[in-house]
Amino acid sequence: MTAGAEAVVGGRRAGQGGGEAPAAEEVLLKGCEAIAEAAIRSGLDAYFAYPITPQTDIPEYLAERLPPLGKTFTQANSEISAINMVYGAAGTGLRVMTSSSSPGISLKQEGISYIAGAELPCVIVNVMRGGPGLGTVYGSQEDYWQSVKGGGHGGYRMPVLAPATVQECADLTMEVFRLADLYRTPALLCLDGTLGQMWENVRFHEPDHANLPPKTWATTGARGRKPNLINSIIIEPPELEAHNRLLQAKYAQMEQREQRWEEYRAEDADLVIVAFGLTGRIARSAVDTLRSAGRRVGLLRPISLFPFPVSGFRALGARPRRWLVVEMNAGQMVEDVKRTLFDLGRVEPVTFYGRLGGVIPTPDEMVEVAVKDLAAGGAR
Amino acid sequence: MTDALVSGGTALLPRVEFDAARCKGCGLCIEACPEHIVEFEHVFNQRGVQPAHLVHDGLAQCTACGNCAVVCPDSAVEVENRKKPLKYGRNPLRVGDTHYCPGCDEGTVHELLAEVIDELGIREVTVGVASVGCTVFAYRYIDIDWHQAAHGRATSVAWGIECQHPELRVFTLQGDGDLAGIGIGETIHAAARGDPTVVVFLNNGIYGMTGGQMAPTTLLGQKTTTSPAGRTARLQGSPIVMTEIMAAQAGCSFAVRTSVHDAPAIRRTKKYLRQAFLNQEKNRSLSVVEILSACPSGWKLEPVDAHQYLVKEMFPIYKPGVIKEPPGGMPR
Repeated sequence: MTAGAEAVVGGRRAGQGGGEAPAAEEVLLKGCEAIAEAAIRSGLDAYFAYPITPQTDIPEYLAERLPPLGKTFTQANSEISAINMVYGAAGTGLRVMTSSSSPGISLKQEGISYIAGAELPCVIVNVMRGGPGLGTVYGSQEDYWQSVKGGGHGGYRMPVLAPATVQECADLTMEVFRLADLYRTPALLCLDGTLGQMWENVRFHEPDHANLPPKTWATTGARGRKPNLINSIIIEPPELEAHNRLLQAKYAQMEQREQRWEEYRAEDADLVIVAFGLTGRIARSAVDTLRSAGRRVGLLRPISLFPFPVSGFRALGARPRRWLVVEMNAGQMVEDVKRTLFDLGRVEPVTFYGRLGGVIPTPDEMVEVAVKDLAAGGAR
Repeated sequence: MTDALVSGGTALLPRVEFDAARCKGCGLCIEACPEHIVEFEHVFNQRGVQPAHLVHDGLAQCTACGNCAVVCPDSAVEVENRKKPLKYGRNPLRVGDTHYCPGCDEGTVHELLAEVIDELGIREVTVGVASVGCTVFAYRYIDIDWHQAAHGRATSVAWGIECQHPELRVFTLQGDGDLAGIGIGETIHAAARGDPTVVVFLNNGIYGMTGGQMAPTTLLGQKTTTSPAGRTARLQGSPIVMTEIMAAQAGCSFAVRTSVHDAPAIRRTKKYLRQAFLNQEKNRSLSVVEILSACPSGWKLEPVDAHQYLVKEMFPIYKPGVIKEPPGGMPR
């Protein structure tokens, strides 16, 4: 999706590389393949994963591409094993990635918590499917809470980016590697299974990976230096508290610097639809339909789910309006929307519309809900 | 504690030094001395135990065999034979005082690892993987790079470390709960993949760190806090014999079971550890050294009694010896 004339992308634009490079050739790829290719172009050294639908195209792509480059591809015996291989490899300073889908991501949570505690950079891709339990292989957005509120134990956060197009799958993969290295943190690319399986044209840009900090902490053998230690156990409560304060300061820094969103025809809107990922993309069509019918409806699409793009809401100005949050879950991001509006001192109605279990909302459904919502607000 | 009479004296007499501050009073050195010239002091150290020392005039009978130094789990004894260039005691890579209970064999294994890493000259390319359990703080005790792993996942972390770093010598230090319980899948797959990891497997048949619960390797009849009436095959299943399972995998090229219950066993175990690191370099596949270890606190036995229990009860189930020789024979 090329941002249209009326679209504004807030915060830092992902992986645009300055635009001096000659125009990259367009290739037709699935979302999952675009992620895998972008990871290779980001300098991926090692990838560890376990098969699960609907993300298996990622390991299949990398199984073919990584070994000839002298890089590591390992199919682990479980998701747990895979994330712990990531933990080990990230500890040596490598560019590392794993990918999975919802149940597999649940299995990785302990490992992600260790990686967050030990402050190692790595990339995790969750191609979300419907749950709970084994659920379905069809795409969903039911892991929003798990993704942005920590997921594993211990109160950590990590950057979470949510693409809406195959092009964004590529761009945001490169960006998520940058964030991981910059903040010494696990970082998550979060998309639903439908986007992972969607074919679209994509252009690969050069990753913007300049000015990343050196990895002096890596465990590569204590040659000419004191031993390094990769560790997340800090037994003494005051010491652990100090460590956690540092982590929290890092998360606060991310909240200041790393918010990303797309605003579309929202400036004069009476109703703003807030939706991320695939749902945000569908909402864009609904906005166009509503605008053609003379309805003043716009879209705010969070691209960074953590940090939540509070600035995107602030940037819309003080104009009174209604809000409609659409998600492929029973209402998760809507909590962050309400919190954000509350923090901004806004007391406007927030309506939620969700489809569950892998059902994708259609633009027509969204139009209908929006019209009803506008009517409830007194608009014609 | 250094006694002027003991450490000085005639040049040809051995130099024997007991570090009273480090002594935890386990008494293993007293048991190990063939000349019966080691005893507990009458005074207490700051740990609240009576530390070991040489009996008055004991030096004259000392043969500088080094057993007292070799068996000390806290590397608190130093013996120098001044007739030959032979010295026993703490290796410079073995740092700090351990959190282990008195008489715990894990300290002994730390000393052996430090010595082997030092003697092979691989300190600068070695990365240790500490696991969850009593080995969780292993990184405090050997002066190398360490990566502390989640419970059961040490071999996966090890593969992550070595996959793009063939120059690194990676070893894991894992207890039986870690390796044979929660991490059995990781363990067997590391052996099947043939990761070039040296797996040091400390089998004491109990969860020590959490206070003595039943482990996958707990013996039938053995009482633990979660098998208070003793483990039965019908209720809790039978002990898992791990090293044979690992040896059965093609990617495991060297498997041995040993112990550190007395000085000869410790010397043997050091040789096996050395061979494991040599095999790592030569065959680039997995080596496992299972070390049957006493857990006096968990077993509720005095340290010396715990070693007797180990020999009597564990050896019949976990038979010591070389289980799989590397291709081309034992490394030298």
